[in-house]
Amino acid sequence: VSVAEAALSILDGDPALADLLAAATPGDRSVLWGALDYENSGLMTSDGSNNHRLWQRLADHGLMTATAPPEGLPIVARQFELTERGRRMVPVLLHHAWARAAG
Amino acid sequence: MLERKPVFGRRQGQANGAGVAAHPAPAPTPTADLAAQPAPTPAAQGPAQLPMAEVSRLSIAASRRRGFPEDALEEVAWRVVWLERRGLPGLRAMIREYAANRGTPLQSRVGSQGADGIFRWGCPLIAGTLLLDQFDELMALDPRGAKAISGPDNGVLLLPKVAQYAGPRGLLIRVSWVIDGQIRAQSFVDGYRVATLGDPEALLENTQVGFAPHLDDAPAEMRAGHLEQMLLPAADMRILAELTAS
Repeated sequence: VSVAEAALSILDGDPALADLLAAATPGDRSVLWGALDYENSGLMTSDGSNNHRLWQRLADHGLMTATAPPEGLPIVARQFELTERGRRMVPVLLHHAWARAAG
Repeated sequence: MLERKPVFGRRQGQANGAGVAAHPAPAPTPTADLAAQPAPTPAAQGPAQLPMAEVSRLSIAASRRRGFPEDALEEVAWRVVWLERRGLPGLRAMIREYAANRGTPLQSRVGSQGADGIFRWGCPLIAGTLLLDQFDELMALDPRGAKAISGPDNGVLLLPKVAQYAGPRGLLIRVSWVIDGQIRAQSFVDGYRVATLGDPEALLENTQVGFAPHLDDAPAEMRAGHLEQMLLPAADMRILAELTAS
């Protein structure tokens, strides 16, 4: 199974993930693109945000992993980073989810 | 497999901090104002330390003078910066390409048919754009083999377009850098990361470039963007000043 086939299998089998990807704002997308573009892919967001739900869903599929946020922040923060598997699959998911959303 | 050794180690930089949202802007560094200063002499001045924003600005300026249309300038700068952030010689490749072809109309740098009937690509920036439509054909081949093209010069500038093709398809592409029929280096590219094994000069001196899907594991050396600034030797800086002078 190729990386692309595995990624599309995830997308087909998880409509909630597809919805979260399709609903991501341009800002949300740019954060993910930026994470892919940078070697250190740590991403932080507030608890319960759209990004938190999306990244947690990606983590459920082994594409991201939750890490401990810095202490002393004035918000309840959630931090994630891309896994090796995620670095290959997330670009496929982003491309196909938004292509589908665009019709 | 070619010998594993670090390549392109001359650039400065460091990994980023806690996350994308927290990426700091590059710290101000002393950089040459090319438009306002006389060209530095190599003996009197060491390499210039350039933050990536400056690399982008200089790439746009030089490309505009080279004759690229306005709507292509950002694309050229993106490619140069993409490479430099990964420790690859994007700016040096662009300088070599423009300096070697001063006075040559940009349109004539697409490439030409040789006496042997083989088309040889010229400018890597033009080739990368035009080849993007042909990667499907190039990648559909037996992954144990590779499809080679003749040229282009300074082929490293193709790599960002290879990555642009690879990412949405989940591909890892092996790019072979060939000089006089011999593979001298190989780059492994997915959507955002690259690793190069072998002779780094082959990415500039290549006479052919081969493409093939790489079905084995990605090399451990794969790296995404991690540099925030680069060092440009004084000699290259002097040429760049000429290329950007109005």
